[in-house]
Amino acid sequence: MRSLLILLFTTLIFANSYDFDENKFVFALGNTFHKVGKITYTKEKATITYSHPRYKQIVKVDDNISIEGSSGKKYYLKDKALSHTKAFIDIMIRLGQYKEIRNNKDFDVKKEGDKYVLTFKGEMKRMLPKAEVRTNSTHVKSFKLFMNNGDTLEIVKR
Amino acid sequence: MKHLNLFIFFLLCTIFLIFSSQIKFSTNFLEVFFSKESTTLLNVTSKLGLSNNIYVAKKGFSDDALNELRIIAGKLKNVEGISKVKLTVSPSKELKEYYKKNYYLLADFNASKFSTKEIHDRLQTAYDELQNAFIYMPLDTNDPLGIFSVKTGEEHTYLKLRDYGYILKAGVSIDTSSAAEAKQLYSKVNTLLKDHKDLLVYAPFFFLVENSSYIRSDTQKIITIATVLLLLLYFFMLKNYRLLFHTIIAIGSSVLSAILASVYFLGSVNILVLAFGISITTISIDYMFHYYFHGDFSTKGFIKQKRVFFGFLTTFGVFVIFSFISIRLFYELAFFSAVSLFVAYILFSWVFSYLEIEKPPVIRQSQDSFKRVNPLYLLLISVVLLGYSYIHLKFDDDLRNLDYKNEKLLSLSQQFREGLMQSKYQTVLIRDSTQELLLQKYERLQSTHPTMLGIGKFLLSRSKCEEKLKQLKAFDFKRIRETIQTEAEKIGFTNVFEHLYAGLESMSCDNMHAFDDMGFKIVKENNSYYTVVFIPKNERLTKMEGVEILDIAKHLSQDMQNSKQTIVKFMTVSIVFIIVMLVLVSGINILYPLVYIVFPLSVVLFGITLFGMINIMHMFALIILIAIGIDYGVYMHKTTTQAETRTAIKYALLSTLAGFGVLIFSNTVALHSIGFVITVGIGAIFILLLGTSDR
Repeated sequence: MRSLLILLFTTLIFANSYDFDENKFVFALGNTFHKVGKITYTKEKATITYSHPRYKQIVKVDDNISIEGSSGKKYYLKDKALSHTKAFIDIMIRLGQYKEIRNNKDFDVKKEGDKYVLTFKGEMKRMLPKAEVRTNSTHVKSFKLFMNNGDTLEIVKR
Repeated sequence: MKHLNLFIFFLLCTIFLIFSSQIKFSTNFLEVFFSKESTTLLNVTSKLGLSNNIYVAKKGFSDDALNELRIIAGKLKNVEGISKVKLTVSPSKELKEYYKKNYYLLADFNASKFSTKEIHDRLQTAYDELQNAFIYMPLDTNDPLGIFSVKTGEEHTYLKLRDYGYILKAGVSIDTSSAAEAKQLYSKVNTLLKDHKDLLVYAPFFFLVENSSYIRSDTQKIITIATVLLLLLYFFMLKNYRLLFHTIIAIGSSVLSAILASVYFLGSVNILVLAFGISITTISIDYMFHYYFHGDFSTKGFIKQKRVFFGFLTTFGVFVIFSFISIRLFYELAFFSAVSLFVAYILFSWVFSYLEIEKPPVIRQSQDSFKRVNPLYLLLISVVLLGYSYIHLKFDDDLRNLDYKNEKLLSLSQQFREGLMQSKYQTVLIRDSTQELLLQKYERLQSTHPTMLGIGKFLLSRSKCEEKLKQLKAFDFKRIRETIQTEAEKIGFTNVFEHLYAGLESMSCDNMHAFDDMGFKIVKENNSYYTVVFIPKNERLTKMEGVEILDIAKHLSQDMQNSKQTIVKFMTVSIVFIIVMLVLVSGINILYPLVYIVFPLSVVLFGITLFGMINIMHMFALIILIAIGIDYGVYMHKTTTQAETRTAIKYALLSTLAGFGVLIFSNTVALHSIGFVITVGIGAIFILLLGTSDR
C-alpha cells in the first residue's frame, strides 16, 4: 500500500497534463468531429483519456499502446495503427510545450503573426507536412496539424 | 677483398633504397593462410558490404542522447571514407521513390473477385471507423479494399542497441581489407569521437587495425629483445667485436637479398614472413661458428668443410622442398629462408675468409665427470614420447586462435551482434551464374522461408516480374474503380476516390534495378553472382545447390585441416630427403645423426601435448627444428675435433635461442608457438650435446 502511495505521489509530482478539445476534420467524409479529453504524461508513460462523446483511454508505455473503453475491454495496437498513434501522442506532448517548439530539431519553425508555423522534416513529413501553433506569451494555446490527405486535427487547450 | 662484406651490404642497401617505393610490406596476418575458395568468400563478403559499417551507440534513450548522436552524425558525414550516416530506420528518399514506382509489382496482390456487395460493405466499414475512431488512421484513398498489401516488421523510428541506447550507422566507402586505409579511417573516427562520453564505437574492420598494430609492436619488441640478446652473446661471451660486426653485416645482406628476391618473385613481403625469416637467417650463424672455432677463416678462398656443406645443403633442400607447398605463408617463408640461407652460406664460406678475423682462443678438451649415455637410449625414449603424442595430440584448426586475442573488441562485437538482434538470424549466401538465375533461386528459397530478409523485397526476377505483370493486366481494375466510386458516393464519401490504383497501367519490369540504399546487394566475383539473405535461426536451411550458411570460420578451419595434411606430406618428403642426405654422409650408421632430429622432435611434441593442441605454426617451427637438428647431427658425426665442434654448436644454439626462442615471450599465439617449439627443441639438443657419448 505504501509503495502504491509513493508511486501515486511521484506520478503526481513529475507528471505533466492538460485538458483539451479536439476537432478532427476528415476530408473523405467532409465532416468535423469534436472530442474532449485530457493528456497526462511522464518520461515513461502517456495517457489520453477522452470523456466526450464517450469514454476511451489510450495508454502508451514504452513501445506499447493499449486502448480501453468504458466496458473495461482492453486491446493493444499493432503495425501501422501502433506507429501512427505513437507518432501522434509524441506530437501532442511536444506541441503542447512552448520550449519544445523553440528547440525541436524535427521541424523548422517560422513565426507568422500570432502563430508559429512548423514544417516537419524527415519521415514525419510524408504524412504531416505542416502544423500551426498558437501561443499566449510562453504558453501554447492550441495547435493544428495539417495532413497530406486534406485532414486536419486541432487541439485546443482548455 | 678485405671490404667485400661491407661492399656487398652497401650494394644491397643501395638497391633496396632505389626500389624502396616498390617494396611492399603486407601486415594482413590472415591472408597468408587463405585458400582460393576462402579468398573468394572473403572478397564476396567484402563486396557485399556486410562488414562495411561503423556503429556508434550513445548510452540512454533520451532526447539528449539523440541530439548528441545527431551532432556526431553531422561530423561523421564530413569524414573522407564515410559514405552515409543513418540514425533512423526509415528508407532513403531514393528507395521510397523506387518503391512507389514499383509498388504494385512488389506488394502482395489479392486477386479475389470482389462483388459489388463486398465492396459496399468494406467501404461502409471504413466510413464508420473514420467517424468513430479515437486514434488517427488515414484512409487509403488509393486502395480502400486493400487489394495490395506489404508485410511490415516492427516499426521503430530510431536505430537502437538493446539495453544500451540509440545508435547511428555510418557506411564506409574504403576498402576495409586494406590495413592502411582502415587504419586511417580508424584514427579519424577515434579523434572525432574522443571528446564524447558514454559511447560505444564498433566496426568489424577495427579488428584488422588494432590486431595489425598489436602484432607489429609485438614483432618490434621481439626483434629488439633478440638483437639485445645476440649483442650480449657476442660482447660478453665471444668477445670478438670484428666477428660480431661482420656477422651482423652478413646477416643484414642475407635478409636484404631475401627481401629483394621475395618482392621480385612474389610481389610483397608479409611482415610475419619478415620476422620469421630474419630469425631463420640466424641459423646460418652455425656455419660461421663452425668455421671460426675450427680456425678456417685463416685460409683465403672458399672454405670447403664437407660437414658444413652437407648441413647447409640439407637445410636449404628442406626449404626448397617447402617452397613448392600451396600454403602462402609457408612457401613465402620457405623461399625467403632458402634465399637468405644461401646468401649467408656464400658470405660465411667465401667472403669471411678475406676479413682477417682473429683465430679463436684455444679450446681445452673438457674433462666431464658425469657418465654420458648411449644415444640409442634417447632414441628409445623418443619412440615412447612420439607414441604418447601420436595418441593424445590434437590439431587446433581454428585460425582465429593464432591471432592476437583482442578481448575488448571481441566483447564489443558480441554486444552489438546481440543488441542489434543479428543473433536472431543466420546469414545465408546464395550463388548462381547470372543475376536472373540468382533472383530465381532467391524466390525458390523464399517459398520455404517466407520471413527471410533480402534483396527480393525490392527486386524480382524478370520471369516472376513478367508473370506478376500479366496477372495484374488480367485483373478487372476498371470494374473495381467504377464500383468503388459509385458505392462511395452512395455511402456519403466526398470525391476522394478519383485516383484509385494510380500508376497501375504504367508498371514495367524495366524499372526494377538494384542499388545501394536497398541494404542488400548483388555482387559479381569470378563469373558468379552472389547475394545474402537473413533467415531466422530457428529455421533449418533448405538444401539447395549454391545456397549455404555464410560461415567463414568453418571455411578457414577446413583450410587449416587441408594445410595440416599438406604439411604432413611435405614433412614426409623432407624427412626422406634428410635420410638420403644422412646416408650420403654417414652411410649405414645414421642412428647418431638421426637422434638429433628424432629426440628434439619427440620432446617438443610431448610438450605440446601436455600444454594444449598443436597448431599450424607449431608444425612450421618443427620443420625449422628438424633443419637445425640435422646440421648438428652431421657436425657431430665421427668428428675428430670434438671440443671445437661442441663449442661451435653451443654458441650456435645460444644465438638461435636468442634469435628465435625469444618468440616464446610473444602474446601473439602464432609467434609464441614458434618460440615454444624452438626453445624446447634447443633444450633437447643441449641435452644431446652434453649428455650423449661420442661415437
